[in-house]
Amino acid sequence: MMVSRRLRSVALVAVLMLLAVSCSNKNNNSASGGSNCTWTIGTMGALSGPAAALGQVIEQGVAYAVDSANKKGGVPCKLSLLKEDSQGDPTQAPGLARKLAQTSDLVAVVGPYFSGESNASGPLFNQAGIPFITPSATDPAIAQHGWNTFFRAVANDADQGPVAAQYIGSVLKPSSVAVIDDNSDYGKTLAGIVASGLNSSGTTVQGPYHIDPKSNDYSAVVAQVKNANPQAVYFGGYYPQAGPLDFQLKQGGVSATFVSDDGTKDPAFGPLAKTAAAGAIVTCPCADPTKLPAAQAFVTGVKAQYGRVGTFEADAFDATNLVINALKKQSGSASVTDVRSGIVSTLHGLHAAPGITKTYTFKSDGNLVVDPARDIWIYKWSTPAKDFKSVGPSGKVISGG
Amino acid sequence: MARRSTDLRTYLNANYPRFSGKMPDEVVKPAGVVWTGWQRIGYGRYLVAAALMALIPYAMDNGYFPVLTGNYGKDVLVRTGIWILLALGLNVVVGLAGLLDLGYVAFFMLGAYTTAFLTHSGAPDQFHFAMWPVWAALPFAMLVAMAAGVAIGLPTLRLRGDYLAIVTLGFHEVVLLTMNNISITNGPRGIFGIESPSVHLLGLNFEFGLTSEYYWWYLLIPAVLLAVIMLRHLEGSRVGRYWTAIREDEVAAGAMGVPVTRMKVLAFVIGASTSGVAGWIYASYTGFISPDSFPLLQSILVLSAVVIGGMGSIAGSVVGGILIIALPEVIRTLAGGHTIFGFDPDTGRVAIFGLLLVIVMIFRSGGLLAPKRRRTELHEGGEGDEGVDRQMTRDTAAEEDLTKPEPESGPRR
Amino acid sequence: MHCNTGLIGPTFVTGLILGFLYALIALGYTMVYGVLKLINFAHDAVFTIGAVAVFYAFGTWLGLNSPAAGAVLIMIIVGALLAGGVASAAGAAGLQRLAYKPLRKRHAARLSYLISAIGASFFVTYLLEQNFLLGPGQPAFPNFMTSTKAFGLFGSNVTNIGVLIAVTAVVCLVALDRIINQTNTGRSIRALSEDVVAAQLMGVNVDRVIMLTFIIGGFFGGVAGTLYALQFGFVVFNMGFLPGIKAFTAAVLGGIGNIRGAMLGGILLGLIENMSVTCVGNEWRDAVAFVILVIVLIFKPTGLLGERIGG
Repeated sequence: MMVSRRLRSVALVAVLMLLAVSCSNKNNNSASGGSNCTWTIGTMGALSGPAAALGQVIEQGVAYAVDSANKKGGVPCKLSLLKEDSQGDPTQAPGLARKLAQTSDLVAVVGPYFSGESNASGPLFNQAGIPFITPSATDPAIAQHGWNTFFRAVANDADQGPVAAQYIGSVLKPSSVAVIDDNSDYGKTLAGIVASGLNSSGTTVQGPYHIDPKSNDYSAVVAQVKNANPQAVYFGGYYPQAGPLDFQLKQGGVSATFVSDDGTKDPAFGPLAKTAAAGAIVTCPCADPTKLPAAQAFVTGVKAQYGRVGTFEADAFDATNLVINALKKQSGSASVTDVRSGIVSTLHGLHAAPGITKTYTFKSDGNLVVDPARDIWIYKWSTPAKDFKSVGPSGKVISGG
Repeated sequence: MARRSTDLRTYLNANYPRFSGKMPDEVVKPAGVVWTGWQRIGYGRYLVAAALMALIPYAMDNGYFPVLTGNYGKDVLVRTGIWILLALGLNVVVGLAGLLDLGYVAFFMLGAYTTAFLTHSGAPDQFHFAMWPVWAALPFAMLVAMAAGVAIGLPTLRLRGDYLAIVTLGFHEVVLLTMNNISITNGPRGIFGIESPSVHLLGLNFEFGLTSEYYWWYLLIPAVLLAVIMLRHLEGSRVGRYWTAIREDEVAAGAMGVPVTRMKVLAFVIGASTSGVAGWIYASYTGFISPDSFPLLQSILVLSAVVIGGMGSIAGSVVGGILIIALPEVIRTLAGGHTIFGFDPDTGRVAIFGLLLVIVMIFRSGGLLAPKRRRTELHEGGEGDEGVDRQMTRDTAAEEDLTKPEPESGPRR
Repeated sequence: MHCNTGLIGPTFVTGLILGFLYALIALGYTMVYGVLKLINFAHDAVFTIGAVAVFYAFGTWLGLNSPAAGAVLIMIIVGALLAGGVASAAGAAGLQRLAYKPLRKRHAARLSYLISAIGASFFVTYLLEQNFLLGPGQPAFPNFMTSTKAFGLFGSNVTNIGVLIAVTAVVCLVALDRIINQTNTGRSIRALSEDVVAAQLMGVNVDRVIMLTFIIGGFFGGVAGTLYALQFGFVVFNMGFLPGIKAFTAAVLGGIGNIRGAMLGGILLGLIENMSVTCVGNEWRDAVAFVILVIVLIFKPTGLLGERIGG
């Protein structure tokens, strides 16, 4: 009896092990020269999990760029796209970065999409010499690691925060502002920058208050904010918390204007904030492609394929195209290592390279040279459209407001 | 103590003949392993195990693990090793001493943060207590975790099993909150660029790097084996029997002169030390830690790893670690984005794991590889035709810690 | 430490409402513990099942996505609470049948129940995350009751949903207290929690009573889940995790296994958590709650009211 039970358990373990071993190895084709060679562009971010809505549209932008390039031609090798789903989780990111890095024909990575995962996986890409260009991770710290292969195709929070502070100070003109964050790396950093920006312009800052992003009940923070009686509320964080927070603030009797960031700029904000959504403002280092003449073909194409254009989707398209354009200058017979370093040096050498949303010049630390007045946009929630509608580039809005 | 386990009966007969007469074979026999011939090989078996473990990265390179390949596969291997170490450490607390610890990853976190604070790491403005080489941080990672074990253990260990569970869970949450809220830890942004160790031995230089994962595996092999040796020795030692006594009946053990509180704290501290070492390895391996790396879920998962493998079972801890880390990665790779009737095995891997937990508990409630001695404890007298509910009386309604009847003198009056 | 006395009033009100929710959820933990001496770790999934069932039944199936008023509204609310309760009760019954009873038959150790419960909780929670069910997002809860300010109290707005939570919780708590202390079913449950063998000898059907315990606890969990979703306006696959842990803490604080203890513990925990922001930042509230729990347990090792199930 005992022996057979033990045997059974050993067999069970063995079956599990077999599961690990039994499946045969897939694609291990090496990059060879010639016209039927393949180059893989990797992309990595939250394709599932709580922040999936933000990640999925970015991935669409990348996929759209790769598809278009394959249709148009001009790249020495055929491009394929390899997606890895990190769920936006910094602890999963390093493993996936390794998985990407060992793909033999991987030439570049567009991503990671969020800041935490970029910080966590950056060392691996950098050490492997793989150029990685994020279309949406805005934590200033990512550029401070001295990674040669890192590029950021958007303005970072050190650019965005002061714009938000400026907008609040000169358009909303409140006597005091409550600053709230979601106690995450992204939200806390950004809220801190906004708070110091407001402080230096002489606006009274209440807080910062921190909500617990795992909780759905923000009633204690609502009581704190109500007690502080601000005319505007700034929230640093993502829409899954921003929506319920805005809703609970209004229910709790806080009628101040709700201002937030690019993490909040998603149509899913509306159903969560309900009636409170009206009038909510977000800043975003993403231009509204529907307002840009250069982006019209992209908007039409993406709408036909996916139905709508999401946040950072056009920026992801641009970032991917920067890589694709750099690939056009590489030789199909060159080694992958040479192609990777070729992309890095091409990207570093760009000067005001035109994309559909903005022009691209990278500093030596990988940050974009930014004109905040032009590149950072203000959006306002529109109840009939059930989405954030652009008010305009921040420079125009602030000087006109 | 010479060749302890196999000779325990002889030892008892020689020294405590009357006690020995009262002890049935099942109790005196060593905890079962798959092949008891191990016992006769002595320490040699650890060398064999080390050699086999050392071969795994080569097996990976040569395609014996086709799903887990290259650096990615070795990354999974290293993370699995870290979790095996965690499961072994928790096994001391849960398996041997019978204390329900739902906050074990807090010690892991403390070990990792201690490492970050004592070595070169992070941005230039990152707070440091010291700028030591990584190796120098190892004993302190252990010490801090152990001190935390004492700090949480002393005030709370007189609590009964389930109360201890919520207090340890809360302890994890408080450590997590602290790491997230205070500024010297860089808050939610975490600490980057934690240094890798290097070994300079006999003219050979091993610089541990991001893409030399297998070096960490070679670091983990002695760590895991030391934990195994520690666990096996503790189990057979006087301390281990104290723990067994406490696990079986705390009040009776106390009455017989077992220093209950001290032994419980000792279990916590020994468990914490292993966790501290695992934290040190984890911090230097990933080079990046943030509060997000240590969610509450992990404490629950590591407990699941211990129980699904089999409480008190060393092989069980290994299986548990594999199931928690390697299995989800295998599922992820095999699934490759495909869904089965709308179910995505990749994002649904936690659901699969949950189902597995229920099934294993139903069919092998002692865990996949429950040690033989533990099985006799769990089932003693339970094979007869007594009514189910009568059994339930003994097993659930009046139990003290985890597995044994509760002393009626407790708080229930 | 700088304390803002102006926050005492408002946080008392919001804390009380949160506390009522915790109390309702804590009942499920405490009843199962009282009878089986088992931490029902899957109760968070039971809670979620109720809310999600109402979300599907009233939102997707009945399409009650516009505000109702008057008698219709009251009917919808009662219907929703009952539906949530029944769904969760069914969930809890299924859970006990599939994940606990087989273990009982096999005389498993108590830790095995705990792990089985954790497994069941993972399974339900992350199955709901799949796209063919809820998905990873936070879909809006059917909007049949618009949240509006009912009245102000101590400088805090109490919404109509807040009033509903308080009323429902009090009704449920009083009803359960009656059931436990004054009916035959309640007597069986109390008997079982005191001494299983004696209860059995006196003719208590143990299987039936255990099932009933899960059903009653699950029902209140489902009511709480529905109220919770109504209050915050959305459902999400892991909505039960944090309230579950909090309610478990509340049950321990009051004395696990003790029904009045769960009520007291829930309300106290809600108050402690919210009122802590008068003196420390909101980011420390869980730490404050935990420290208070440890202090209580050091002086009263079985919680505030001890472990007896009845009053």
